[in-house]
Amino acid sequence: MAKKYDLIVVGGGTSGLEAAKTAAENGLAVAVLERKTNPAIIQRSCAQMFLMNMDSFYNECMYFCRDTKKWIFPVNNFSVNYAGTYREFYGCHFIAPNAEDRIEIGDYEKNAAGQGIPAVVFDKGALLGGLFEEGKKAGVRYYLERNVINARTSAQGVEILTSTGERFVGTFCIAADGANSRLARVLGLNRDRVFCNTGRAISYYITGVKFDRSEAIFLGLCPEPGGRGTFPFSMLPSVYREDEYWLYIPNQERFEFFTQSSPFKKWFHNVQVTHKRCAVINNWSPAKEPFKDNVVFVGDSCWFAEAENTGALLSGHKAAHAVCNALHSGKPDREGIMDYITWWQRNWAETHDYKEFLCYPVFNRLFTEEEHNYLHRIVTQKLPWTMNPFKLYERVMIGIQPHMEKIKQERPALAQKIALFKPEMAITMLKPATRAGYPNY
Amino acid sequence: MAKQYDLVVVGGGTSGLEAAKTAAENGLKVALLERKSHPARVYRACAQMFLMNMDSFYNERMYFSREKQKWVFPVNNFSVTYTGGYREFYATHFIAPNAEDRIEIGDYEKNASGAGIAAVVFDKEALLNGLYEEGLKAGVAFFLERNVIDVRNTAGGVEVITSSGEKLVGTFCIAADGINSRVARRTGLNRDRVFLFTSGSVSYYITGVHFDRSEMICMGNAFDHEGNLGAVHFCMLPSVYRNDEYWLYIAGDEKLNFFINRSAFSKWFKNVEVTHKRCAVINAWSPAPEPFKNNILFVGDSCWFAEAENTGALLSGHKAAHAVCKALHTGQPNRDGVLDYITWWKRNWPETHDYKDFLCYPVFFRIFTEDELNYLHNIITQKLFWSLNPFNLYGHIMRGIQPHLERIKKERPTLAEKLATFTPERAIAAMKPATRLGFPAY
Repeated sequence: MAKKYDLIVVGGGTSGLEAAKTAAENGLAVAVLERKTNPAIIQRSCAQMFLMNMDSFYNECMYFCRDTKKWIFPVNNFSVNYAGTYREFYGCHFIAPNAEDRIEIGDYEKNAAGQGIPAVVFDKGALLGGLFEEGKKAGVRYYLERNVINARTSAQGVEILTSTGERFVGTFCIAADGANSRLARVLGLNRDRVFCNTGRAISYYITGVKFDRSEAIFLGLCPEPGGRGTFPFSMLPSVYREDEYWLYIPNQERFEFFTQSSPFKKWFHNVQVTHKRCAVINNWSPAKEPFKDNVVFVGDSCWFAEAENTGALLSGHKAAHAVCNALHSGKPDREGIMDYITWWQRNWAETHDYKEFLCYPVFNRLFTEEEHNYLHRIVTQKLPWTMNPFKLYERVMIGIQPHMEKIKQERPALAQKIALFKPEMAITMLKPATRAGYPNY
Repeated sequence: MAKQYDLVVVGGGTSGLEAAKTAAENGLKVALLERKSHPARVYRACAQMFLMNMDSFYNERMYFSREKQKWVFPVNNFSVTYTGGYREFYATHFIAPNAEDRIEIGDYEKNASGAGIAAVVFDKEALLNGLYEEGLKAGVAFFLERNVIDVRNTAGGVEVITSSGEKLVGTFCIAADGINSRVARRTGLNRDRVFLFTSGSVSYYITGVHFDRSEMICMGNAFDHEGNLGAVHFCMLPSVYRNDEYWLYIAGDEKLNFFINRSAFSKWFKNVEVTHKRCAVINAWSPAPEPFKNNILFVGDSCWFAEAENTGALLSGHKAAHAVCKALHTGQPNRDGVLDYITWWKRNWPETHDYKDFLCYPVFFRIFTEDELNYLHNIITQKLFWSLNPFNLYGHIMRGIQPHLERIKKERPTLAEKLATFTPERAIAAMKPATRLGFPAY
């Protein structure tokens, strides 16, 4: 006989733990199924960033309250306890392949001097550990080391099956199983989505990095080892140690080239890898709606990467409240959680276009190495702060705009490329990557 | 030198305490000014009801989690801790002047046997005390026994002045000073509102009430045939304090006497004892155009037409506090910064709750004769859908009358004519005599 719950949460990451805790605190009988032994031990790559309220993300403007140790989400009326540490950073720099020229988003000097906190890196393990403990206190039943392999609708709601044959039944289920969501696949959600690519990368936590204005996130393009084209990397300060950085780069070979032989090697001296984390993710266009057969989708599970931790907390919290409302107003169905569906559509899909997110990553295919150097050099003005990945492309375009006349005169072919480029083309340009991917339909 | 705060809250009732606690928990420096010695002592009349999630109020659908001892507001993502008791009730009955016929809203029998919790009465002192304690813990600076007499705009934000000459300055101020808001008056907010009437009433907590299906709210009018009291409006519901106690809202001792001893309703009462009483005089105004002026956010009843009720008080206090947090932390200490609150209020309060609809039921006795009221209450035999949202009650009754209109036209053509021409706008017109008798605070 399967155990019956009001809500079964599949996945004990940021979104799932927040959803489970919230629902249990509001009186629901909640079970969480998580594959790992301890939800607070992080194994997958994550930049562990929060974009703070100098900009908005999913229309939220979050900030941290040091006194009460909480992340506050003032637009959506809630807060999340956090006893861990964090590290502020002050700007976002796009770095040219020559490792010199840069497009600056945000005013590093002003922010560093205390004008505002654009973003932070935080300790995800501490966040998850806190949510896990609060969930326990609220009465969440955690089933760890459970691998969910299927979900079916039954008369009573949703039946969840694990690889060892256990069954759990919930009136509702929240799918918080991440970018490669198995629930999205088995429920057929992915059949209505556009598969973009399979992304693979390694996060290296390293020491031995020396450069000015280090408290920033760097999104850069590095010349390929063979000299044809460029590959992307991101680097930002680590939350774990003052002298440590987080470097996200496609693989070990490129990591070695980047730190030892590329134009960027001047940044590095006696590099030591403290530890590393990996991730393989399938990128899909967002689902039409975050709901199917009494399964409510949160975080990355129905979104185009990245929901980020902000989106994960927001959607987990909102979905839990929607389930509470549905159960307590006697509508255990789609209509009951309409608030969540509407909120998600309005604040996610309608205000964050995944095609724009894709634009920056395909720039390295669109422009030559030399053109990249030129563009990064010509945009000398500081651009207004954002770190919302769905807005970065637009920012860069706004930065290029005042220089278009000059570009037309000096580099007519490049001006032509820029004029013709549209976010829709990002999808087309990803085609080779799409063909090389491993979609989970 | 005036003390400087992020937020100064004027008024320590349901809305003000929730606002202060929430803002302080989110890291703001908060002061709260309250006239009483202790915010949790309730002196004014209050039905102390929560409409539960069988219906919605301001588009929220709240419920109580017994296990967690919290009122949960799932639409607006928050909850309020509550360790007091509460008493469920099952229906709303409109009682005819003959004390027999009734229009039933909600299915008493079904709800009484567990189909759902339509509404509850709760212990407001326990709620306020909990909020007060949480506020203290969160670092709210409470200034008690302070009578706020004025607010002014200064370079630092809003200056709040008490009768003893104290000055507190806040970047923002939240006006939670209730239905007769002095802050609304001093800022000129009332000049953009329609004054409706001044109403004085007493809440009697009484024992000695005997009638069937007592776990409900009932309201109606008793007509005084021998004396000169005319139509006496009453509202009665179970008390949260004692099982054998009821709350009876009626306009003073003389009317109470008539109601329990001489009216058609006297059969409900035997050996009535008044346990205690609470009074209230209120000025009813149309809602303000928006709940904001000069860095002051208005919450609860302060800018609304009675009743925000405790639901609306908690909602608006919570929302306004979060809006202030956002405004201060995004460097927009102005109207733009709190636009989320203004927009939310407009959408979920005036755009979905028409105060003219609220006024319709109370003026029925001015429009219909006693006999017509008896007839109407008699003819509607079907149970109407549950609601206790006072802004929806009129609509419910009209829908209840609808199926019987053909019959009414035949049997009572003048009454049918009255019904056909009655509009919420006419309720306002019917209020005119009361409006002239009122004491507006412009």
